[in-house]
Amino acid sequence: MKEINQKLLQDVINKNLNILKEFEDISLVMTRGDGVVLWADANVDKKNHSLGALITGLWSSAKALTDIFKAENINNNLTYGGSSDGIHITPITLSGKRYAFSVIYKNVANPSKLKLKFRLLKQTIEDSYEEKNQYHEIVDEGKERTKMLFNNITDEEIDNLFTI
Amino acid sequence: MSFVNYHTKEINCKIVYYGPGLGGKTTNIQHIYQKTSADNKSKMVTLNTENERTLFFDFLPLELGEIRGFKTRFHLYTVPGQVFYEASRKLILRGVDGIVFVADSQIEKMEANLQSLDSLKENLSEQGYDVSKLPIIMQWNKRDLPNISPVSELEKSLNSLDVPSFEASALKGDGVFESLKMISKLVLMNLRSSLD
Repeated sequence: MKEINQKLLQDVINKNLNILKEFEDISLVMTRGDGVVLWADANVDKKNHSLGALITGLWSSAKALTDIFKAENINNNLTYGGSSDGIHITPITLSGKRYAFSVIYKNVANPSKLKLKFRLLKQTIEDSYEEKNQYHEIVDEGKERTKMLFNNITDEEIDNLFTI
Repeated sequence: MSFVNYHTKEINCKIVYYGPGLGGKTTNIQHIYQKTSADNKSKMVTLNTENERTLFFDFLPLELGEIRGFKTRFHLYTVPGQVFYEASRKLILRGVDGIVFVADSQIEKMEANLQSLDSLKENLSEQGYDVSKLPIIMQWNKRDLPNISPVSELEKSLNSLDVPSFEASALKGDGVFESLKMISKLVLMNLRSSLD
């Protein structure tokens, strides 16, 4: 499994955020399938990890629900909320892996326009990331995650970790 | 799958509390939540039915200290224990790094424990996990109740994987942190590095 190049992702997103510059009260979050927040903009409370769990839960449930009805041609975008406030989730593929990319919006006069531009941002990020990441993947080719990150963690180290 | 951010030196791991209905999974993480200082936890999320049973999951993000320069964060989830929530359990197991199997020690709950353990193994295999390589621990919960199976019987019937096990009374808090510390240690030691 190829890993996300986090610095590159950050750079690519920062360079393209101007696509949504006309919208003021929005927050952007990118989450993994296990609920971990991969990236969030400055409007998101980085301490609010529940956001990732709930977005992933919401999206996974919707996917499982459509699978029950074998709705193969359904698009994977999900919107929850009213005409001016809500959340819109769309899949984004980076290094061959799919993530949930979300915009949470408030007081937006034209949500359809926001969703359209948001999906344009997503497409731009995908294209730009893949193009720039090709070099990194060639360099990293063959480098597998075979080594353990930590060896022989002691009980004392775990106790220190839990001194909370 | 764990998330190691080398850029910010952060580790995120996902631990799931699995087991039969009313076995004490939610009580485990409620105890952890109560005993953790406000600086180290975010709000606990519970998605319950009207009668307080877990509908989808409980979630507790836990910020711990540093280990060898990496800031660690554990995401604790419980699954709904009731048999008919199998689809939800499968979703919650996605990307799991470690499992605490919370068994109910009461004699009459042995069948439910076995059924839940079978579903765990099946759901993990379905998602491509090698059960023998995934960090798992067993927790024999409700040891404070009178009508309980001896530990030797629980070990024989439920611990065929021969993983670490702990006696607990989640309601009183006994064995809760011991279980969490052990699964945390196993998960961290199971992390693989992409750095040379």
